[in-house]
Amino acid sequence: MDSKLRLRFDRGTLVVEPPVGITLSDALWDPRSDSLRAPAHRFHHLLKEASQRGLHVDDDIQAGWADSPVRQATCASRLQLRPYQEQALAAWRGFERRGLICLPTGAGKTRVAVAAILEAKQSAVVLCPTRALAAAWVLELAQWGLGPVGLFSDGERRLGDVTTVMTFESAYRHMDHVGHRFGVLIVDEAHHFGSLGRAEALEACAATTRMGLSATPPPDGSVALERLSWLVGPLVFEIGFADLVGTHLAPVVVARLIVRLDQDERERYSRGVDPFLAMRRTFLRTNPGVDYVTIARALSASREGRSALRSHAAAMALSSFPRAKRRLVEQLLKTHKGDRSVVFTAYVENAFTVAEDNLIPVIAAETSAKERTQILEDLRAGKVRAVASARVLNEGIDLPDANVAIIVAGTQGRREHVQRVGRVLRKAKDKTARVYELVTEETADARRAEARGTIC
Amino acid sequence: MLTDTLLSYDVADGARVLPRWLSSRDEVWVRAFQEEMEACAGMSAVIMEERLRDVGVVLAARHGRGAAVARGVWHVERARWRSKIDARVSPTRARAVTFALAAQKERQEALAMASQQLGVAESELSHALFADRPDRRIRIAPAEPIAPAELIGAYNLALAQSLLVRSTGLTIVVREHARRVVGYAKLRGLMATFAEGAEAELRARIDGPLALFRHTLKYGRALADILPTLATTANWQLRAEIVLRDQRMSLDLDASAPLARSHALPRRTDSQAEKRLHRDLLGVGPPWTVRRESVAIKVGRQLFYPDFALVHARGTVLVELVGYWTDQYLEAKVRALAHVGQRLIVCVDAKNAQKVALHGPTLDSMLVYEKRVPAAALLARAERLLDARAGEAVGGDYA
Repeated sequence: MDSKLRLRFDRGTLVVEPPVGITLSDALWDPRSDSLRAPAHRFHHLLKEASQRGLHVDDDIQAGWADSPVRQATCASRLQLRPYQEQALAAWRGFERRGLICLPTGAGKTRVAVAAILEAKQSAVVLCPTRALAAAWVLELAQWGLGPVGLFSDGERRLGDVTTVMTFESAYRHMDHVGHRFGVLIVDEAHHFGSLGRAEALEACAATTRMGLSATPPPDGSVALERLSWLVGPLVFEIGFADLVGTHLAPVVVARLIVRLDQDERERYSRGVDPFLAMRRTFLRTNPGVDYVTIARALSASREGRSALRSHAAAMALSSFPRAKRRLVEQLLKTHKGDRSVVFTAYVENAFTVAEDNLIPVIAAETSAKERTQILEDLRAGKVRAVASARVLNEGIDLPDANVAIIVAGTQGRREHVQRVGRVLRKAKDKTARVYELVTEETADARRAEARGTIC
Repeated sequence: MLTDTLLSYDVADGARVLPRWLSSRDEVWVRAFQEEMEACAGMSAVIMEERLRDVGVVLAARHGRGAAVARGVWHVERARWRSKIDARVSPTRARAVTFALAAQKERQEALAMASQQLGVAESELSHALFADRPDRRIRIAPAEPIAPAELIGAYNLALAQSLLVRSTGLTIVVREHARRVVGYAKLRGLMATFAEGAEAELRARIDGPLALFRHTLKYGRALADILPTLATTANWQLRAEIVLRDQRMSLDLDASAPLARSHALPRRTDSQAEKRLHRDLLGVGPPWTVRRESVAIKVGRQLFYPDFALVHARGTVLVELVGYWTDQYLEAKVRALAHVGQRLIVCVDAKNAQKVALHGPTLDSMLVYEKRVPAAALLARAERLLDARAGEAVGGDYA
């Protein structure tokens, strides 16, 4: 009797042909194609199940994964890992090379990923959230001899021989066509997939070796962590800022600077929030415990509600960037003229205001890849002294020489805050990082700052 | 496509989405709105947006239409507008020079030096610094204005497609050109399952491979793209399962929907291999004639759409190119067609062929090719199939 399990990649799924009489836990009958089918990310589990049952596997996937061992060996000999990076890699190996590694920003997650790719000796794909980060990954992988690096981002759609980098959005759109080409899947800033959005990017990939990287993992026992465990692997290693600051990360001084709204701003702020607060109180009386989204949805059903929501949003924007903060940013940039500063704002418009006030460049989603690269190079070379950004620089972008972070405001909570502080913590000789957190007292901005807490 | 906030619809029975179509009664305010748009030509995008937002809302409200509709109409029309950068000096160049100087000098001194270096006044330099931002660019009206009725049709189509982008799957009923509609869906990587409906109609369920495992919006854009093609056919119907604000709902559309019919039926939904074979077969002379548009063959509740029909005085042989298959799939297809008395040659790509276990009727009816289906070998096989008596096997070729 034929004891072969046949597996073929079909648009992000696997068409499964087991021997007669064998049922497999991951495969469902698909009446559309008269065949059994499984999501591509279950390839690893199907291989395991086949092995346990003594079935020979015949697939059209793994043969395309092999890489040049000579090139790999050359690169591997150059790669030096720090002790905690070695520990992370060892822990990941212990979980069948599948899992989530959590290291603070600046602690060298990229290097751990490169080591994993070199060790696996298979073609790899790296997924990351933004185009800017994708460009940074391409440079990093090429530096380790893992090029020419393919890229799915910024309008490009090019597979690399050994490694390919995709933004999450590109992976969502295209992984079902190329998901069989990679043996290794690296997911940078993997926490984004905790919410299940765009999970098809990971489901359509057949890679059996998987590594998630994050500085801000979902909490233990959360649904988000469980989802990541299903798609990437369990949390296998975690180390925090406090363990590395002063040794492998630069020492840091954090200052929270409190500002006040001017009189007219205070009046505008009150006018903006009061109608919303009144409606919220009424709504909560009949619907105790509901979240903001539910309230906003209910309010948006009426003209008055929509008006209250608009005024509330304007008040939030005002508290994030009042005149006092604008003046303070100018003052701080003057104080740190000899340093490399990064100004983080809550809204992209505020980043452009800071840029026009202080004549510094902005990195935003609308900045072209070419100009973005040039700005980062100029910052490293000292040709410009500071850069402003709303969210693009929050994650992943390497700013090795930046030593001052001015956090004007944030709306994304603790996770965003941790990422931003991490931008200036990369260790350098005689470096002490400085973080300024600007907070508008007696407003929602102050409450948000309280909620995100302190880092070290 | 329209964003969530621009979608205009009602919900019936808690789960049925009813798009709020615009009709000829809206032409009056749409025409007035178009005049306002034209009056804004030459303004910066941010100013134009602000002005039109208010004007459009007022005009629409007078005719009982909401703000989302007015904004949606402008959103659709805006796609035809161009924009240009309004600056005396390239913004990229202005930034590079000014920011480098500002790293060394005080703001005023840096601006003065940069403006001198770039040969523009300081005010012009300040204006140029971020003049390439999308909202600061100057809007240019399209050369050809469109009639209000045309804009209304385009808006309705955008509204329908924007709802379908949020769909997990469709059931369509097609009464003509079914092959092209379904072929287009397959070209977009979707899967179509056929079920025979009433006389002279095709009912097909369309979704994507991952839809077997969970409700996914991944195929929404591809599903929405089918609509213009479908809408070119007569008496079409469509039912979609859509997700709006996390709620699962259904959307029914049919040929009475007031959609723009600007799209032509797609002529080419062929793969490269099909195109090549078609070219090669066109050169074939008597006794063969080649029919590209072969009819659908009904087998039970399934429909088959062979790619070509090779017609000979002694009979017809159907040809199908299959990009992907399993043993069971091929066997089921060949057996089903044999059952209804059809001769079929299935051409399969060699890169996927070596691992398939071929036997029985599958082997008899298969032609394996590499990159290009050899027309001569195909015709030779067709001859042999016509020669073969029932029950006789014909050996498989490896082209």
